Amino acid sequence: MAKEITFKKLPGYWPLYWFVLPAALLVALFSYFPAGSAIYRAFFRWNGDYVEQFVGLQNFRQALGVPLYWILALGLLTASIVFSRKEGPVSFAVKIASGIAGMIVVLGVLAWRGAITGASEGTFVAPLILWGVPLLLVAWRMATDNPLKPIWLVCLAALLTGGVLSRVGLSPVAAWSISLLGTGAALWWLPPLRNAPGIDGLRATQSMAAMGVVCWALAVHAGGDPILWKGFGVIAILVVANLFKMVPSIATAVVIHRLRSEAANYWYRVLFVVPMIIPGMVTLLLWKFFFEPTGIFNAVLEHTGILTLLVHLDLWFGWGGVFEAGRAPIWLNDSNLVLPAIILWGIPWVGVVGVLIYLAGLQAIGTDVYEAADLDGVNAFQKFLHIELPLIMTQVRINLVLMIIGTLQMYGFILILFDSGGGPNGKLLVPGLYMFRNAFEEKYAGYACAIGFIIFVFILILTELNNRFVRVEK
Amino acid sequence: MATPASSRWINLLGLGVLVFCYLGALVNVFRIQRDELTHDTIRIVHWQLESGVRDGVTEMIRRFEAHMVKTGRRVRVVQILIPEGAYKQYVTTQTIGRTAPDLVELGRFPGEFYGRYFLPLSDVLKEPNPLVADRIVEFEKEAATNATAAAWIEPYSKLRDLPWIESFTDGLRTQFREEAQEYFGVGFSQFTVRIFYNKKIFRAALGSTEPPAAFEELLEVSRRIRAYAEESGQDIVPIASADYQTGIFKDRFLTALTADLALRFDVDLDGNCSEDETVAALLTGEWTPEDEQYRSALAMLRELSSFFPRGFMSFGRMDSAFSFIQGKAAMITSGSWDAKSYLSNIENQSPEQRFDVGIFDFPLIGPDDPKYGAYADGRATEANTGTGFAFGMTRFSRHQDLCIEFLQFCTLPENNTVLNAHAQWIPSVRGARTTPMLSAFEPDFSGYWQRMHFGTGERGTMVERQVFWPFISGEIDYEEYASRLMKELPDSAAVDFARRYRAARESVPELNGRRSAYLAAQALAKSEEARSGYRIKLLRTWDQLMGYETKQARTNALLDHTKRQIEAIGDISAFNRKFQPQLKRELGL
Repeated sequence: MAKEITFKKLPGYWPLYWFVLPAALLVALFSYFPAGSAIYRAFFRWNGDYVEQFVGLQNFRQALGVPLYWILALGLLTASIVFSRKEGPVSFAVKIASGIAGMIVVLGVLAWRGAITGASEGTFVAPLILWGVPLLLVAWRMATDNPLKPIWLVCLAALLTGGVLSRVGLSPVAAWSISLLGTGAALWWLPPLRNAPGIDGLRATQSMAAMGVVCWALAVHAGGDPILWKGFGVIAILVVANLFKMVPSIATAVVIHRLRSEAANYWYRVLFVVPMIIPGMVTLLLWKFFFEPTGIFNAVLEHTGILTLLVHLDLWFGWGGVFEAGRAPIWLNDSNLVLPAIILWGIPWVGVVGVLIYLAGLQAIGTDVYEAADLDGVNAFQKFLHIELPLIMTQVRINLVLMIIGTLQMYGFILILFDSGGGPNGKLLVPGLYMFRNAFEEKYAGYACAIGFIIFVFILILTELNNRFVRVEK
Repeated sequence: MATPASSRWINLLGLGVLVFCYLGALVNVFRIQRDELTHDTIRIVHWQLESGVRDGVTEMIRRFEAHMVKTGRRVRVVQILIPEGAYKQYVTTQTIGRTAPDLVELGRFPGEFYGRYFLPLSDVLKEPNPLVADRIVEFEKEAATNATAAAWIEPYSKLRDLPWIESFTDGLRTQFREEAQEYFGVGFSQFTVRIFYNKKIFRAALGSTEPPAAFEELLEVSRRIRAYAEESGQDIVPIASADYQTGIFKDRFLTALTADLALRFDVDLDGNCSEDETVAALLTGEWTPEDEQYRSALAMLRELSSFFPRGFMSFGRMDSAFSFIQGKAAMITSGSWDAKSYLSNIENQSPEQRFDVGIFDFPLIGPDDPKYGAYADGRATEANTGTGFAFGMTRFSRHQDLCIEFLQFCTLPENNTVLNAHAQWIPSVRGARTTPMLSAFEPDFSGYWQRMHFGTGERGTMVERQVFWPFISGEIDYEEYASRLMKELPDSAAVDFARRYRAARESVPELNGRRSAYLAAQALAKSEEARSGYRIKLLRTWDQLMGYETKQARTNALLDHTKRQIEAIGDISAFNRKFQPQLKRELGL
């Protein structure tokens, strides 16, 4: 066991610091100093070289609009994160202020600005509902405790309400605000839910989701940089999509882990490591070819009949002829399809690193746990749900953090695919790419630093949320 | 616990590999350092990755190093290649970090960039290239036995007493930077843009290899090639295109249809419709995306783009080039810079795939064109193409004399011929010989040189490009294009305008410093010619200074003027309504 050194005895062990010092200095010099310098420069109008003028919060005003609104919103979000796992009147007040009062304020502001109605981003409502409804139905069906069943029904109703309101012509912010207001009211005041198990966690989740909508409303209406916030919208969609894209990696890891043959297990692991040596650029070009009008992707869609289904869905949901009979979709050229193409990129989404991380977690589970489960007559899926998934939650959390950071910082492959304009209609001008563009093309490095700082704050919040909520008591 | 013997050996092997790699790296570092100590090293960077250009520059380096050995100096020239997409970022970061190579290919940099990071070459360009006289002496010695050497004497003799700048076909006009009043670059080649076509497909589809001469004919040829491809079941498109080539067509069509508009909005009559003048036209509502001439130019392009492959905007430049080379497209537009790679790749194919390539100029749109004739101005001139593949010398170079000598060496007629023969480009130096294949690329100086566009600056260009993509892909119609553009453009134009305004304000102290230097140089000049040169610079920079000093007043006047117009006439421009608040926010007014 490691020997504990008390603070008093510390000076006696000073030679130990010499071992730590080089690494600490290098980290400070190459990681912390550039980051600190970037934060410092965010308060300057700086062109990366000779123009350097202190401008205070101007860069942040340009990006955020009115910083005070954001400070209030992020303050409330922080409070709701801090109080999320606590009970008592203060916690209750913070959650209700974030979850219900926040939505009432947003709706009031939208009504005042005449922004209750507006163009709805219809393309993603249908996929969200197509994904969300079956998932929630499964959750509802599987909920063993009767008091939990209504909770899933509330979530289902919220999702459908948001989708329908968005489709009937309400602005997306207004639609999801109404949906969350309804969910909040149900979670706080619906009699069957008042003492339901886990209700406090759900209330915390609702209040944080509501604060997310407040941030969305601020991004659209606080007078900040519209290009930047459009980019953050794309990132939000990609983060949600990437959450789903984690599932195949987990499933693959579980399947490999359960192989009875040690040799097969070994060879599968080897096979998963081999693709790591393929340069990223090659993979990128391969997928680019796949997505061409005459590429493999369209061929698969056509032969499986999915393309026909998409054509029908287009007519049904009124997507405006994105998919037409007899015309292969041009995924990377169409502003309506380029984002779905990026989401579909890499299908079936079995990430090599992810699989290996999950496998490491799964291999740490003792055989006695499985034997006990077998004796209790637990089936394969229940083993996954009640044994494996909880025990690899640490790995899931690591991958989630890496995924969130990776998605928020992502821009390299968009730059290679579409140059710095962000593709058709600038649809993929994500914050990272916009930051790059400002720094190296427009030479507005100070503003780029401010964007970097905002990205950093978002990563910090999402990582903290992840650390607080993605865990299971073992 | 004792370590097993096998494990110990593996550990030792690992250590051995580590030590070996470390020593290898160490030796390499020492070798490079020794080279740096024993040789004067200069580095040259460019974005021309085509093999011919690379070989041409390598050949120049080989010859130059050999030439330097003759003069008793040990010189090493290192060629650095950076892909086009990353070039601007590379040079920006390297210059800011003061680690840029000695010689940098110029292009795509903002105006103030040159004066700050590059050394002016104006003084050295005024003197004759000293290597010309040396070479004449050598040729005269060899003339009796070497006919090639004898043939070079005449062209060299013509350049002997001429200033170096006069040895370039365009007098390096395009390398003059107005804002700094200096020449910063020396161009090695000239470029023009044409349409390449596959004679084999033309013969099969049209029964003739005659290229189209008018726009309507180009459409007709494309229609017939498409019909031929459908009938014969071949995977052929009439015109190979990508985002890159679409830009070339767009440029040509806009010049052909909007050149007169550009002249109309050029209110300061400097022959150029600047970004500020474009913004002014938008502010007063005199110019909008509803303009019929602009609309017709884009309609022309969209009509032609129906013969491009599907999804062309997401293709890279090389994708379309491969399509043409592989015989899957009848035509492609590109510049003389691509001629060699197209022709050599086609030549290296199997006999069945090989085909003859023809080259023709862009078909004209005349007043008799049934659809677009009403707005036809005429052809786009190539007088402003000038010399390209130009190199400038960075201020941080430790071997400035050597760099100049390298540039002088590469622009000797004989070397310029060799360099361009490798690249299959048109030489930039008088007396240098052009490859016969490139005769189709000889520049045509007649025509108009500017056009209207919505590029109000970096941001405006980005916004227009974003909206243009779905329009040209057929995803949205022109009304939607115009509506989206007018939604985004005012804010972006205001951002661009404010940035130019600040840049002008910040240039004043630097400009004043430069003027003081000119004044001193004028007073101390030894010849009347030099004195006159500095006097011209003083006058020109005075104009610039007055321009900068009055920019604030002009900005306010512009805002006041448009405000008064709004009050007098009502809301004259939707553009104006969004532009002004954004500009005020940007400038903190």
